[in-house]
Amino acid sequence: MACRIKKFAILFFMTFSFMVNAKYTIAIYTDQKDNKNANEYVELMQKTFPFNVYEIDYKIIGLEPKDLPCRVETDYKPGTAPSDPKTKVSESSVKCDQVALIKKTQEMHADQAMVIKTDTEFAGSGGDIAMITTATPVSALLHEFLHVLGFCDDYEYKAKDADIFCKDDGSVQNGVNAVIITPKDNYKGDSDARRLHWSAITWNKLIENRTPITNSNGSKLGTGDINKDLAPANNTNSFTILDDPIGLYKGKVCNNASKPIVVWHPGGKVSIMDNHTAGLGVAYEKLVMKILDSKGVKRKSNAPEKEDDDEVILVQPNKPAGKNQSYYGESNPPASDSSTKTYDQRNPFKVLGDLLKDAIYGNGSQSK
Amino acid sequence: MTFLMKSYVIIFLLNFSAHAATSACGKTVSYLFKIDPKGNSTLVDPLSTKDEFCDEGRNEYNANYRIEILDKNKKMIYHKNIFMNTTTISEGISPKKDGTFKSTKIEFLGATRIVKFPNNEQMTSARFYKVRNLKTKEEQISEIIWPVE
Repeated sequence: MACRIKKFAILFFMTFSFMVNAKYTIAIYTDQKDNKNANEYVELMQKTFPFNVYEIDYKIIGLEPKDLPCRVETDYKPGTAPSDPKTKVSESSVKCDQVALIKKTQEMHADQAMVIKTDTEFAGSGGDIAMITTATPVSALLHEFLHVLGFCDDYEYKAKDADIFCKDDGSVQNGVNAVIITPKDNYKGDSDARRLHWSAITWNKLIENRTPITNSNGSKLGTGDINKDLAPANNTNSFTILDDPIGLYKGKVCNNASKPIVVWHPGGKVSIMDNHTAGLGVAYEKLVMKILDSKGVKRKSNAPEKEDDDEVILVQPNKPAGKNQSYYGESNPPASDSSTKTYDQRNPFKVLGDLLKDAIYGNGSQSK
Repeated sequence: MTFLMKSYVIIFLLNFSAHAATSACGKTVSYLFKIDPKGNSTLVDPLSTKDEFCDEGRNEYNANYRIEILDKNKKMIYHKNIFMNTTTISEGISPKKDGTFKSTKIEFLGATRIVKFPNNEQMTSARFYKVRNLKTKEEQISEIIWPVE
């Protein structure tokens, strides 16, 4: 039987190799002569979990400075000598003709553009593409790439920035890793907090039942505050171990706004969205995997197995749980919208895998 | 029929049915999906290639836009939900090796990304596309230029 399964598997993969997609390709544009930083960035990505367990190709495109449509902007006080750091009005920022770069990326059949621009200033930016200068450590480019994927900053904004960018309508500081929740003064336990806020916590499927989202005997919101420990760099093929449980941790990004708003994050340690020398931490690793999976980026064979989202079932948004329903237990499944099925539900590979198991073992077999 | 032959027939049929069931395979067509600073969206610059493509990214995590491809009767023939960060976050970074960020500027300058579609027989009936902002629920319908395979 083992031999038959082996033969079947070989045939299966041979056949499916015709319909396997091209790899997800990141094009890195740089005007640095030896491409040193671009190579460093590729090395970083190839060893950093979870990016290292996905089929991602990197293409480094070396360009002459005149051919890279980017510049570094710094404002200086009028009438002062340019480049004198003492006369700087604002920090530097990298600006590119993104459309031109993305068009070029499309033409080379790649998926995502990044830029490393030669300059002595320390700056980066993220949005539709990720950019840094050559003076900036490449770990900051990973921070910027996470912005591209939908992550918000975790670091504390200065008062002048916080007043502009911390809006209580959630238009800015709501992302895959951040949510604005104004806590009540007092809760009647963890269930009360879950009933009120569960649907607002976008990563709630990652929070285990045993992890509270409250402290002080369920009276205060938050699994805790983000502590001062940096999430370690993770160069293994699996999730960070010895991390805090995924929960609801009080962040600091908007602490300095004149009208402070409370932003919450899933991880308890300082992450790369706070400090670019930190790792992602288990919460962001899981979120990145969800994002890459949903983009159709293929996992390598050494990647952790896909987790079943249905393991943690949610309360239906804005509906208090009934007497016989737990807020996050098995008896209260989320409302499903047929037009927004999860990727797994429609994944033809998974469906076919199950069918093949049936073909080999008979109809009684059950996939995981 | 040997076991291997039987296996191959089964796999071929499953493979074929999977393609047919999802209608998400074909050659590749990529577009630039652009949002201008006012929030108007366009799907432009189609680029068609012979590369085989099965679209496994039709429901992106945290999607904020839904793109529907419509036929001449404005009946949907394909859709995908995608995420695109529409803000540009410019950050000043500390020259020290402490890894900290010094300043932030968040701007709504418009954004662009590459969106891929399968190019198969069904898709050749594409005449329009609809973009729905999943946060604001705003919709726009425009004509699409679909490349002939």
